[in-house]
Amino acid sequence: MTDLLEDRVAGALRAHALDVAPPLAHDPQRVLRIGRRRRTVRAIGGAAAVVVGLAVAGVGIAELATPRTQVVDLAGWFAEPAPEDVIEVLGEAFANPDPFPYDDVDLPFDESTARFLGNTGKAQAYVGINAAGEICLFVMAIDPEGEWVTALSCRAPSQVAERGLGLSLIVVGGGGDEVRLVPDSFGAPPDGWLEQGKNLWSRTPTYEVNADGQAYGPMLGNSPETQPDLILVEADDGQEGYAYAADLEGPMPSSPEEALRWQEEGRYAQRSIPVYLSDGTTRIGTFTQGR
Amino acid sequence: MRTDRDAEFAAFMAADAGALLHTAWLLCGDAHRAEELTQQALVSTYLAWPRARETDPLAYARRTLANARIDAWRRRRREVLTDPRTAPDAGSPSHEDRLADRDRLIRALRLLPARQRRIVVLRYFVGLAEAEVAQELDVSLGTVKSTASRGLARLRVELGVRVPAAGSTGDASPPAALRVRLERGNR
Repeated sequence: MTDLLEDRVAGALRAHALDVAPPLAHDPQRVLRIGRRRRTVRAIGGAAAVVVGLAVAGVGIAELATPRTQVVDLAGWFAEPAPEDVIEVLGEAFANPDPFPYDDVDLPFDESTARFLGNTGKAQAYVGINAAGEICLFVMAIDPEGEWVTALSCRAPSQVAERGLGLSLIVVGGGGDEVRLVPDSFGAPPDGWLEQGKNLWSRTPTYEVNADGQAYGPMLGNSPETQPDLILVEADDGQEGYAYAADLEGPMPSSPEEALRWQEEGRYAQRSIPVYLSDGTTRIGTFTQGR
Repeated sequence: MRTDRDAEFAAFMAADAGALLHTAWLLCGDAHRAEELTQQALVSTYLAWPRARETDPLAYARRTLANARIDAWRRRRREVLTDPRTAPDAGSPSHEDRLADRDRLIRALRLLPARQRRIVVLRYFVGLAEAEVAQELDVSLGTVKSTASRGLARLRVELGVRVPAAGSTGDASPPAALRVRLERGNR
């Protein structure tokens, strides 16, 4: 083909392609938002490791805590599944256009692969696929300074499909959670672990006990059955102390009609709750709920 | 300053995102996937903005686009192709015919091997010079020449492209993608 002919064919093709192209659009603000978040994560990546006492337990510790269950080949999890297969089993993608609710935290993997696994009381857990094609468990929590702290663990899909994926997020001065991403085939969690959502377990926290036999510490689990008697709170003056779980919960209405009446009377607006040392008797301040 | 960076990048997107979207669509043949790929390429360009802006940010984004598409090909095992038997012949410029033409173009591009498709798209649909294509795809100039020529010949056969007569007014004004390049070159 001569150059002239080639140019004319190319010109015709270009014009044709432009003529038949579908409408295409992009969201510049969304690009900027994602770009800023990724820059932020790059910047704080090193610092976060210092702030957070991060113990990546990985599959090894998780295996010690969990009796091995026979793995069933569910949706291609066994025998070298693709990352998409694993993610597919874990749930629905975020609904666009608001895939991830936090502008000040970046996901360490592409949002289109991300799934919200659930809350573990102290932390929020997400799963996704990184650039290397690994399955990643990403856990984030807020530390006592009000800053996000994050932990990340990634493994090959076959490892995750067979043994799950575990990590611990320890927030300095603020407790923490041990979290596991588990395949469907693992069934019910063993003793000491709570099922916090589909494919998400977290370890039941062990609390300290005071002289009166009352458990005290941060509230880590979702369930009222797993919360300590005295829950770690920050008093109005900034001191750390403990409030009785029963005080925090407050009186409960006996019917929807009563709940509505209480709301109209403003009884939910603010409540002052005593704050104690861990002994449960020495009062050190007040925690105002609803401030 | 973040605001300077963002403002510069927003201006870049306003000028060149349309061309990137079009290139992405030609490479992958799917509008939604093209939008997704373009977003990924733009985010990568934003992250590398200090380096990208020093050279040619559009070239950087385009290169990222091609690489992202390669990754996607590796990761995705299922591609959705239109059944060729359902495509009517091109005829009058009705909406249905336009859709059929679009399908024919995408199918014809998909007949080309991945590397040939990238070379053809960048050389003939984006309008880059052979040397630029060689640089962007990190291949030799000779490879670009031979691959592009064969790819174009095949496309011409598949699509039944009628070559406008030399001097005809049909191709007098350059198409939009080419205009983008010309405008950028004139800054």
